[in-house]
Amino acid sequence: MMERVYLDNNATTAIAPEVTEAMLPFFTSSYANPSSMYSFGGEVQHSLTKAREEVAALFHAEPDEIIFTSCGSESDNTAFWSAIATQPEKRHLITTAVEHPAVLNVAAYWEREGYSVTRLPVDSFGRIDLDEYKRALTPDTALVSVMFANNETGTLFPVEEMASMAHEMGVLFHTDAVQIAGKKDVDLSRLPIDMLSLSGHKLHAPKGIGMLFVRKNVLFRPFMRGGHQEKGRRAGTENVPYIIGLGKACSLAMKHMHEEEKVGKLRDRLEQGLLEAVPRARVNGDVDHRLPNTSNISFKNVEGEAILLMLDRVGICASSGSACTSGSLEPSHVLRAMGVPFSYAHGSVRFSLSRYTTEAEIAHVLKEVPGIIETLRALSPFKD
Amino acid sequence: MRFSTRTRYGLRFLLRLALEGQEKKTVSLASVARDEGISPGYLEQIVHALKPLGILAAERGSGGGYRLLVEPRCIRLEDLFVCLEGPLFALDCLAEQPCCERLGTCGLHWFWFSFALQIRCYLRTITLQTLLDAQRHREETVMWDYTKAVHDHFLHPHNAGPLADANAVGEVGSLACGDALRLHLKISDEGVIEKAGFETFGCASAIASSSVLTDIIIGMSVEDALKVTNNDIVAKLGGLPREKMHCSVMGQEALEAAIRNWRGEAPVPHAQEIGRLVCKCFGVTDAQIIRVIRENGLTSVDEVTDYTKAGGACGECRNEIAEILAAELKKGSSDTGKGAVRKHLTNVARMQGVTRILGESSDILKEGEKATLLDVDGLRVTVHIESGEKKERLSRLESRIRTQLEEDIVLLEGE
Repeated sequence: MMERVYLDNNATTAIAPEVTEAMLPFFTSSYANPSSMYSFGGEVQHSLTKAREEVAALFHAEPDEIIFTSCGSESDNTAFWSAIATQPEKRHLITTAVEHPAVLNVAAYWEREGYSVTRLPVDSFGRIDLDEYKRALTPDTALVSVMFANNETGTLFPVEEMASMAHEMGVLFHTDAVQIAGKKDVDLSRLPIDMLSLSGHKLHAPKGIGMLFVRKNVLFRPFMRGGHQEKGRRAGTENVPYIIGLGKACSLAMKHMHEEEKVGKLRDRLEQGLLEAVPRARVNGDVDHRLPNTSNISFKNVEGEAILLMLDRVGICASSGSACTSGSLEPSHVLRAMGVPFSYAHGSVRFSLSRYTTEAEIAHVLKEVPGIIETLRALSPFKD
Repeated sequence: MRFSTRTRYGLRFLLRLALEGQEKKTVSLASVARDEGISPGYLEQIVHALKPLGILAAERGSGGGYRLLVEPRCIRLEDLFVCLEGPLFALDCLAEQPCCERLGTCGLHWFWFSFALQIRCYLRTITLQTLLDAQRHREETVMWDYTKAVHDHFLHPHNAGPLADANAVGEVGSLACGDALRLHLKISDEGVIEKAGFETFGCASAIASSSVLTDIIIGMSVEDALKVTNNDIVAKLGGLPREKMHCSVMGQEALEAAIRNWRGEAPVPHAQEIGRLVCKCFGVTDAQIIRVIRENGLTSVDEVTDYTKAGGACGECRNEIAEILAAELKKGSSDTGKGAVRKHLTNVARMQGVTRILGESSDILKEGEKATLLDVDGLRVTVHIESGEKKERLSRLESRIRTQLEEDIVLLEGE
């Protein structure tokens, strides 16, 4: 049996060995505070600058536009905070019904504080109706926050068009790019995006490091106050080893970007193979506009947690949008927003690949899954 | 850097001793060699090499073998490595008396020094106990929060599938709810459950609950089967995670529904039929809620959600559940004089409760002793105790008040 087939890369990724290697000296010998005056500190400062350039390069941004944070959630919180603090007269926010909790719950917080929030619905493919979006935009809108790619289905949103539409109304546009980073080219020199969130651990850097891009001419107010780090935009002594790791991960992502085509082919093979081998299965999301690494498949009349546990027995790591695994008693908010029928929503499994995924691993999954679904369907009272 | 098989096999051998050689039991070298696929002769050499450490005792004769002389937590990996592998860093400049001529000027000495230091420091933090704990954790970690029994019943369910000759079928749950159970029974003319089968849609605990339910009820009379509660299912599974308790309730309800079906009554769970709908998302009635509160001694809305799912989706009915719960708790405390523990009492209720418990505590207060309530200031309750052993009485009274009345109360002694 294979020791482990890790197909949950939208949850977190393996730390690239090159990243660990780049970080190690900053845990041992290069421990100086980068703000210190002596050359020992200056060397660390120099490494930080290089890392900032590496991160900026992945997004075709300026190094000055990069603010290091502790995680994607902090970046999202900061984007809302800054947009609201710099435009106190505006009282409206727009987001989507299928955002990550890091955006949804921040929007809900501001709603309780008296802001009105529009949560754009999606159709059965997970797509946004741009006419509806256009109607929602008003001069009173302080921020639009729309994810670049959905974490559960991989569906891509037309953020370029949406950002332009926001700008026509003089509205700031933020995107949570946590899932797309490193998988598709995001060119901020061209895209009219004002703020963008990134999380290190989704692109083979460790957990505990994030980034917020803030475009040069965009007004900013810090979320975390204190020292002058990050040019006064995010206080707290720099998390040097992790920033170095993020820089390395970004330069590796650039180097390996072309391999995403290979990842996409493996994903397609997995998906086609499962759809052929397992009757009454369907793909959730917009298959024509999707991340190359993500496949969200629903198996009718079986329950996701049971599938995951059986997959775990044969070394396969995946996740599910079923009620039992969503931490609530209802299936995932994304699948519900898409109107996926209950008979399918409870039986959804997300496989998310990475550049480390191999053909042999996909073959292993294709070998194991049909039998598991058959076993559980034999137990289920629902047969059709 | 390659570590020899001496070290690798040696660690495996010692881990086996630590795992199996508890309570002075010896472990035979031959059995370890066989199980681990190591040549017995080679393992003997390794054991011989370990002798100077003084951590092994050998016992001869039949049933002989080796055991650990020292607690696993006292066996440091560093010592094992040095013993089996030789000096970890055979560099001239790191020896106790450095003999490298470049020592004063070498720009790399710091590197070798810090490299060696870090490896040694790491090895010092690891003992045989660390390895033992990790191994045990690995063996004990069944999936997620589930017990071994849940795990076994999920992977190898008993009595799975419908019965061709069933004369009673009970169904609860639905696809929309995320779990459903159809229970099939073959009940004899004498009213004994001869066979049971189930079909379940749901998570591991739902499947395991169904499986264990069939084990419990086969061979039971219908009358006895009606006394089976969700607690029996939970007990047989060695416990369920809190948020999965509703799976056991589903089993109990399906059983009732099947028996009602056999008796020619409407095949819905009794409590669902007679009650008023409270949770619209999951279709849970007040009668069902009251029943789980009573049978399981529930005291919070979250617990009701864990057991019935009610209030777990839109949350609109949570206030209503809280009202039902409050009414039940009130009833419970007036019925028995000792209600379940409540979390937030009003000052008046707290005062009355403490007075009642003090009055009922003649088993704690010996003859001639008395406890009088002096003051209630939020959760700080002051009493005066007339006794030679104020402290002991105070702490026993406090713990009784905490279990019977309110868990955060602080009992103070005052004059």
